[in-house]
Amino acid sequence: MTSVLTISGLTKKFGRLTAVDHLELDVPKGSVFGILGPNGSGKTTTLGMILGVINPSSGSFSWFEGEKGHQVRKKIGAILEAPCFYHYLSASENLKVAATIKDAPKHRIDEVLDRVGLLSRKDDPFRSYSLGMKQRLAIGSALLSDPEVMILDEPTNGLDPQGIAEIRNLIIDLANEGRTIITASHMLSEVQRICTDFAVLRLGKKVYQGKVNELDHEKARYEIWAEDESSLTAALTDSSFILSQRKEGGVFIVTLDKDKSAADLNEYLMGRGVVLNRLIPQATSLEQRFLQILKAEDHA
Amino acid sequence: MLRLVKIEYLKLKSNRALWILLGLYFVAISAVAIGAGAFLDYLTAQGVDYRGINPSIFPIYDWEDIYHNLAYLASYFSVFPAFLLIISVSNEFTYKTHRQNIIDGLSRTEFFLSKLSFAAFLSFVSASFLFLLGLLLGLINSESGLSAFPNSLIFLPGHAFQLFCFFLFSILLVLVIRRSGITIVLLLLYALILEPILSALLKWQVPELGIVLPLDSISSIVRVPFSKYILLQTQDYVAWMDLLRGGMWGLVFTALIFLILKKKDF
Repeated sequence: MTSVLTISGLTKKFGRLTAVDHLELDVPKGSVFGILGPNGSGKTTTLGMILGVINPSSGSFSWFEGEKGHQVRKKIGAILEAPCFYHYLSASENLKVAATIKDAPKHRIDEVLDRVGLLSRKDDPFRSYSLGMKQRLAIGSALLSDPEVMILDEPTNGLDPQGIAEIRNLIIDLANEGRTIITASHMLSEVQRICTDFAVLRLGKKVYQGKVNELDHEKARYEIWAEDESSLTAALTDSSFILSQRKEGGVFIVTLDKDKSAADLNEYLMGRGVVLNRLIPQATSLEQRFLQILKAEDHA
Repeated sequence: MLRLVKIEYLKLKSNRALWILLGLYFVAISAVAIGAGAFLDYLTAQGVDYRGINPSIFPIYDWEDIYHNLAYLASYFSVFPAFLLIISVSNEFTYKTHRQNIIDGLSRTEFFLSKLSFAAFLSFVSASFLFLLGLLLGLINSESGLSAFPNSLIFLPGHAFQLFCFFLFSILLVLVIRRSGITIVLLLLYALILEPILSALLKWQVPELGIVLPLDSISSIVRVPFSKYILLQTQDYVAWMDLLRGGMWGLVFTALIFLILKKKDF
């Protein structure tokens, strides 16, 4: 599989503090790659280094299997921390600056503004924008060169639920167009919804890397509900392959034996005369896995 | 290179503060340059005279020295365009756009060159403005004929170079301090108070090192012209030694600016 980014032995020291410690990372082409980690684990420092704003203390990285230097950044769309624009310039003037830097054609400016829904506000100064609009403008700016790779650092930070949903849909669309997306976040539910791969950083080191959909195989959890709640409870208690059951809100969360599937559960309950109104497989939450990984590391 | 100047222009063209500063610079120079002649006439009218010479015959607008006079006058106002540069650099830090520029694909060297080329461009604009102002005043007032027109033109490149070196000093200062307000205060403090005191001390204690301080060296590229009107010996050309001394400081500033932009994390 080809990679868009290969990091090897990347290290950054700030005085006595080692923010990123011999990091090894490989981002496969076409993935939506989430970099997770508690605050201070080196996520933003890592992104800063691969984007040229922070000078690494040692180690190296290369884009697209061997490309280095600043020219390659023109082919990457990136936002680091908050959206950064000239407050006194309008959206389209700001994008003119970015397009000139990126050598992107001028007609892209209106195209990307339209794409992020800001075309009608393009002549308003950046300082009059809401946080959500600023974030969308930043994504628009990142799209100017129609990049193969996008780097989005905490893209939903500080947004309201509607803003989060807008950005999430935008990211999913961008990924579906075949772009590789690297995102750092501590909103784990968001990462789980959009990412295909993830890595966990702790104290500047990578402690885990895996695929999001493989999380599901580790444990089989289902959300179920039937109108006849008492029969359902009885059936669940009698079963031999239901490891645990717990009522959460109006539904039951059950965990099955590893070799049992949703079909087995359904068949069993039908046999007991319980007809389910709801049967939803639940992915192991990334949050649980994340906390497990960090806990294991703490003990190590 | 043109791309870098264009990037800088796109960043600045709708910043009102910058246009106001540039406007102030041009208006102030024009006002003093035009007013000086009127002032000399006024002095004459008041009966002032110096060793039997009445002030209105000082040929300040003559082709022989008009560009020397204008270049020297302009050096008093060079803080205005310097503020403009300081604001343009500190804006980058305030809005963190220097970071975004790099992320978008500018190299650190290109960022450095874009600021420097803008400083060079401003110096060129200033010299062009002085050229036009001098042309206007000279055509109206010069006693010497047009054949004398090129005689003081050398002060225009001299002025541009002096201004550029001063800009380099300002850029270095704002790169270290990062905040425009404090930088402007410190620049004025240094230029108007600190260096004159240091310079006086130095000339008193170690006369042979009298003019090694940066702003003193830079500003001696265009020397005081007016002393010639009271018949004192006056350097009415741009001396290679002065260019070299100012240029050395310019080189030191350039190197430091480059190092800071290259090594520091953005």
